[in-house]
Amino acid sequence: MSAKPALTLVLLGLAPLSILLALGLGSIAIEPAELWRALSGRPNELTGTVVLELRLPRSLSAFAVGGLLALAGALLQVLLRNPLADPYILGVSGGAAVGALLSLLAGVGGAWVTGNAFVGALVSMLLVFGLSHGRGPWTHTRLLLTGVVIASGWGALISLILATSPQESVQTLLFWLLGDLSHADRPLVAILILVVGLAACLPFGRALNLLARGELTAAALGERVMVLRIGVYFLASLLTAAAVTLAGGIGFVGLIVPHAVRLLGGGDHRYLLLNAALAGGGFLVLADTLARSLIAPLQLPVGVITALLGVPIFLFLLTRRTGAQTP
Amino acid sequence: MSLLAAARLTLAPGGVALCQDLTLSFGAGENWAILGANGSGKTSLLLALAGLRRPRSGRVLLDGGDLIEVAPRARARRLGIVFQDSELAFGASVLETALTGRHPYVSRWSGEDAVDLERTRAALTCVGLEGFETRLAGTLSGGERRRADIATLLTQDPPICLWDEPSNHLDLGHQTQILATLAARARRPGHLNIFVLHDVNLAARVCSHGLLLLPGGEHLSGPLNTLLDDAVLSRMYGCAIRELRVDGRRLFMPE
Repeated sequence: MSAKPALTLVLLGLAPLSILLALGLGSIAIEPAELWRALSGRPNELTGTVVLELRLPRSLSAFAVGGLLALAGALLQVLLRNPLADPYILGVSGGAAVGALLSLLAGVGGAWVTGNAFVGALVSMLLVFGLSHGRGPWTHTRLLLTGVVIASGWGALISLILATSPQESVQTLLFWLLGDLSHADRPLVAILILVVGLAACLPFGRALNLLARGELTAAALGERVMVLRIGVYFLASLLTAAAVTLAGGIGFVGLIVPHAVRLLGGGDHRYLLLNAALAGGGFLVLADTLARSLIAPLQLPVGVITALLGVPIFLFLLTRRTGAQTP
Repeated sequence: MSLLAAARLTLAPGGVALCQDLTLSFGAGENWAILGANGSGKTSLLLALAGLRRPRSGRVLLDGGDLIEVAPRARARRLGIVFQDSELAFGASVLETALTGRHPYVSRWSGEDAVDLERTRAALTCVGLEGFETRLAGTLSGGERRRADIATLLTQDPPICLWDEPSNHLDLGHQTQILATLAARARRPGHLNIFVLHDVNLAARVCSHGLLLLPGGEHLSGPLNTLLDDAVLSRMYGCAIRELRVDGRRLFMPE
């Protein structure tokens, strides 16, 4: 039992390290000494702009978005009782993408894209909830199928938008779809949402452990299963909506990070949720650093990096673990 | 005094009427056996008595009040259930699994304490799973998993316990020993056990009262030794069953 918080402590230590790395690396590398001077309030002209005005907000946003995605993924995997669930499986990101792409095409910028993406995500969330609720029990299978079908519907609309848009705007649209942190310049909002989301679900860690076993077990041990599931659905959807709105559709973080911390630190949700948020944040900060350093000064879509990094790391963890301790 | 009661209860899982118009009260100090053929409604009845399935009509009364109106957490402190099939969490140890029995007593804002752990270890010892604490629940054999389920309800330790085929997968030694331990709980003041069982002889060994679910939604209830005879068992199970007497003990076996 005492070994459980160990991973949480390690991740708490790694989180600021990932941010420091992100501040130092990029198209211009900054020496640790220079970095220290900039952070302790004595920046020179270059480090003041690059570190404090560009890289700091961006890496903090990346941390928050990664944390939001991993937390939402961990919640949805319990809710749907499906290890393949990720934050996008129920169509929240599809709705957001349609909202964002239409605003980009209309040529309105900044806040309009963000606002419409969020509206799209909310529409999708309510649509899936309403359609899957219906008469009879609100089962996880029905929710999953409704969500997957609505997500496919959004996918078709996105393809339609891409196919009919003018050649010169396709690049912008694709970057948004693959995830892009270069416009995420309001880190405090994102971090606040992450903290509120964590605070909302951490007291329910034990209840989620029971829900992961089954609805009957949770009900027999005194949980209001229906209320709990609806709460988890809306919380996970809102976290996803916030992440997608801030940074577009960054894949794999929400699927792979919860699994990785489950393999490393166990399936107890009192620790798992916090572990996932910390690991997801650190992971996305590193991925974003790579995305803007690898072919600098050009930038790669961060969603491509998360997939390229996440797939081998996850497969490694999976094979290592099955050798040691087969469930 | 009646701890748990069915009042004009009718169940219809999947639209088939089972267990029609059942009125019965379960009292302190009693060990009940619910017996019946496959699909006669034993599990449905037990889930309804646990407040986990709504009956088609009628009510379940807990301490004289409607069970539906009892808050889930308060209910879980009064009654608990072992399901026919266990639901296991991926990656949880045996100790963590059994410790979930303390869930109804621990607030959201705190964790289990040393007393909770002590109770859990005692329950694991009670079912012969001492030394299994750190094993992953998923690596247990069928019988060991069954005993882990039983240990979870012993950890929850509510006055009213409902057991759905607790002897499933257990070897003869564990069947007799564990069932005797469970039945002994009913001797504590204000305690009650209701067992769903398939083994008539095991039921006759440990239970004081019986409810027989017969074909066509009919049911019989009463003290178990006056209830059981070869004619009613033959009708209930749809095969010829003979009564034997061995050392003054009644045994039932198929022809």
